[in-house]
This record gives sequence, structure tokens and C-alpha cells, in this order.
Amino acid sequence: MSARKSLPIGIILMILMMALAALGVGYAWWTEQLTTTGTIQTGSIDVKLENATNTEFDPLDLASCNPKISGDGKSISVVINNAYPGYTCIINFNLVNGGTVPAKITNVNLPVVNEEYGVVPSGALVSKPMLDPGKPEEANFFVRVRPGAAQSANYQFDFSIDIAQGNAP
Amino acid sequence: MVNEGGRGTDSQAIQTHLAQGIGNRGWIILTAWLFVVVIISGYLPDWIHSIPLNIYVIQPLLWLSAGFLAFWLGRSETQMIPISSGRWITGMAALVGCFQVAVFMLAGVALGFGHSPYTHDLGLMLLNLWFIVARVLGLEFSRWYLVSVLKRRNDILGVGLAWLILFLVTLPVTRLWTTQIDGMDGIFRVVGNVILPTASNNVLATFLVMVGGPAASIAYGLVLNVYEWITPVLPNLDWTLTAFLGTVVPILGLLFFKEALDWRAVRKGDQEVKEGIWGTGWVLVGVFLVFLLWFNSGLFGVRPTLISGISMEPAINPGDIVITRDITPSEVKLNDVVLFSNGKVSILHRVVTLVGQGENTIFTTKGDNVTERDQSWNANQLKGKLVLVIPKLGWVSLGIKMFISRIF
Repeated sequence: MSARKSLPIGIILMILMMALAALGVGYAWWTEQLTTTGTIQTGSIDVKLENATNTEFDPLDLASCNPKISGDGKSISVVINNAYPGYTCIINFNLVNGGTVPAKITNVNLPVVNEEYGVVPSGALVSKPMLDPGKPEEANFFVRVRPGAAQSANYQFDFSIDIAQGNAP
Repeated sequence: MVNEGGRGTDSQAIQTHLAQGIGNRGWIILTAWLFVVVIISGYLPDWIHSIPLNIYVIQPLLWLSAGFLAFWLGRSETQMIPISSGRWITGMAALVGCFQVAVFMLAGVALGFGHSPYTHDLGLMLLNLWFIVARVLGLEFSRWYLVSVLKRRNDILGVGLAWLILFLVTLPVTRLWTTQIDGMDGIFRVVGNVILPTASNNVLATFLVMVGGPAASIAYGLVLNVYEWITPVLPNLDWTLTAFLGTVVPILGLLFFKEALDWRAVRKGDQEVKEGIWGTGWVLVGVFLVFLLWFNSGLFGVRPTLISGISMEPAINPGDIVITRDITPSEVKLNDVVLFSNGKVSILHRVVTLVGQGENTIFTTKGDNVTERDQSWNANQLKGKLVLVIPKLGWVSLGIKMFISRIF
């Protein structure tokens, strides 16, 4: 067994093992680099507001409420005529994601809070669910005319939402 | 006129004279001839278009010529390693070859086989056998001569040089040429699949020549080559696994051989076995550490992850270690527990919605123990699918981390 004594076989084996370890570390590091520098293909988001309807609480049966979705489907303009304190109009509509990746509501743009009326988001606008492509989500907000409002007042405002990609932080 | 005896003396004298003429240059001549053989073999298909003539006549004759040259040079040398150290050692070398074959077959059973590219026509198989035998004989007798002669000059550098020569000669150059080395990925593949396993096999063969003569290294080489050329199926492994097994298994075979020799020596009472600082145990620890390193880096297609949250209770608890497997987006099904990462946050949750196909799939996930859905994920944030939960094991690693952070 002079071979074992004269040749440090273990050292050679250790060198081989180190080479193997280095290969592993190098490859892992390199693939990690690849993942972090690789381009991430992002899909599109295209959320539209659709099918606006309204439900009124109009005990005097005087006022009228007309929600209208803009041509690009990005906002709703609401015109209220002959409102009086206590009048409430609920505006229902659908949020439809026509893009390819899920989207989420990041912000609801309400008209400036007014002494005469308030606009309150409700339903899906509050829970801010994920909007999966092609799956309509029901949403609504309501307009309540406050006690301080004048009789037979007319109001007009726009409502819109901000949308971001579903996995945005 | 000279008599019979005189003629014998004459031829011996001629031989001695020739050997003195060759002097210390024998190994240079043999090395040069080996490289000539490799280069001719590499370019033969361009020169001679008849494949049978090339593979079954010229190449075997070239390899045999190298073997005969080594044998002839060796006869005129003194202090050569004996051709054989007995049936026991030769048989053990064949067993080490069988062990290597068995490990690859086992990996094939676990991970699948592919069809062998070699012929299985009986006549051609016999011809292939002739090619294999000629090549192994040529290589191993050359190794025997080079190791014997160079070891005499310098124990470590000499054997190292003999190893290097045979490593370069056995490097499958045609595979290096035909493999598309496209960028870093190709370099890793070539080093892992070809260079390291060839180096490792040559370390084992060199060791076998030193302790068992060419008989041992021929037995080992024949087992490996005959298996590769005769078996109808070969394991179809990822390059990372081929690299790991191809490098580690010859090392384990060598350790096994060394232990068997020690055990035999002790049993025979020949000598006391002393374990050096680089003994079997340390090498095994090294093998295990490299295995852990590769496993942790996900190079075997599976990776471990430590769970710290409660969102998947009761299926997975904090402190569990989960093993995930690499998976393509189209393999993911609803309700699979899948690992996603966006570079900052990694989450292992159940898939609740799947929209789109293949690389364009968008996933939404939710933990079993929470009511809210997570953000949605792109296909390229998919890191793997849960295959195994090892309960509690993670506390060991968490404990060590806390212990270390307390000390420093």
C-alpha cells in the first residue's frame, strides 16, 4: 500500500469535490442573476366601467338622478336635478377588466366633499377586490343630499377610479 | 554463427541498447503517440467515409498500437508496477465499476430512462465490443506505463502528470465540439457533464493502476464501457445530476476500494492501518457537504424552504421545512400548493384562480388559514410546487441562527 502513503489521494478527492462545489455555486449564482436581470413580461390591464343603473330613495318623488358612463368607460358623470335634503341615489355599475392580467383598485376619486351632498363609495369599491380578466365585479356608490342643501338644487360631478396591475405593491 | 542462447543474449542486449537509446524519453514518445491517436480518430470521419472501416478497423488498431507501445516500453524498464496484483484486487476493481453502473441505473429507475444511441444488432454489438476492448487496453496499458515511469521521478507531480495526460486523452473531444456552447449555460453544462466526470473517472483509474496494475483498471474500464454500449436504455438525467453523480460516484468507489484494501490488509495482519488527516471520513463529509450545497441551491430540481408563517396551518406549521420541485406554469393545477417569489417576498400558498395559459398564466393564491387572497402572480414568479413537508426540522436551523446571532 505504498500508493496510499505516497500519494495524498484524499487531497485530490477534496480538490475534485471543491471543483464540484464551485460549479454548483457558480451555476446557482448565475441562474439567480439571470432571474433578477431577465425581463418580466407584463400583461395589459384595461378596466372599464359598464352598465350604470341607479336606485333612488326619493320620498317626495321630485328629484331625478342620471349616471352616464363616459365614452372611454373610465368615468361616470352624474347629474342630479331637483334634489332636496334626504334624497339618496345609489349608482350601480360593473367593473370589467378587459385586459390580460388581474387588476386592482388603488384609489377611488370622489368629488370634493360638499356641505350640501356627500358621495360615499360602497360594495366592491370599499373591499377593493382583485379584478380578474373578463370577470365583471359589481360596484356602487351613493349620493346623499345633506340637511343643509337648498331645495330643488342641481348637482353634477364625475366619478372615476385608479387601477393598477394586480400584483403591484 | 551464434547459438540459441547467444541469440537470446543478443536480443536482450539489443533491447537494453534500444531502451538506453530511448532513455527517459519513453513517456514523451508514448504521450505524443496517444495524442496522435486522438487527433487521427477525431479527423478520421473527414478522411475515410466508410464508418465500419473507421470504427472497427483503424481506430481499434490505433488504440492497440498505443497499448503495445506502452507494453514494449515497459518491458525494458525496471521497477514497473506488476501487470496484476491478483484476482481479488482485479475483481474488486470490477465491483467498483459495477457499483458505478448500479448507481446510474438506480437514478434511471427513479427519474426515467432514454433509449440508448448505440446499436443492438448482435453482430454489430460484438464489433462494438472489439472496439471497446481495444480502446480500454490501449488506454490502460498507456496509463500503467506513464504512472510507473513518472511516479519514480516524483510521487505527486509524476502521478499528477500521468493523470493529466490520460485526462486529456479520454476527454470526449467530439462531444465538446458538438455540444453547443452558447454562453455561460453551455460552459456550466460542459464542465459539469464532461470535464469533471472525466477527471473523476481518471483519478479512480489512476489509483487502480497504482494498487492493482493495468489488470484492475482494465476491469473497471471494461465494466463501465460495456454497460454503456450494451444496455438498451440509459438513464435520462438532468445535466446537474449527471455532473454530481459522475463526479461523486467514482470518488465513493475509490473510497470503497481503499477501505476494502485496508480491511484485507488488517485481516491478513500485513500492516496496521493508519488513517491520515485526509482519510475516508473527511472525504465522505466533503461529499455530504457538497450534496447539501447542491440540494440547497436547487440544482437537483428540488429545493428546501423554511416556513415561518402560520397562513397554511394546519397543513404546514411554522418551523417546518418544505421541499418544492421545479415546475412549469402549465403543470400547475387548481388547489396545488405552490411557491411564488417576486424577489422580495416568497409565499407558499394554495392556488385559487388560474387565468391564461402557459407562460402567460396569472395565478391567485390564498393561505388555508387566512380569508384574504394574496396578490396575483405572473408565471415567471413561479418557483416550485410543494412535494414534501418535513415537520419541525426547521427549528434546528432557526435555533442555530438565533444562537449565532446572540454570540455575534
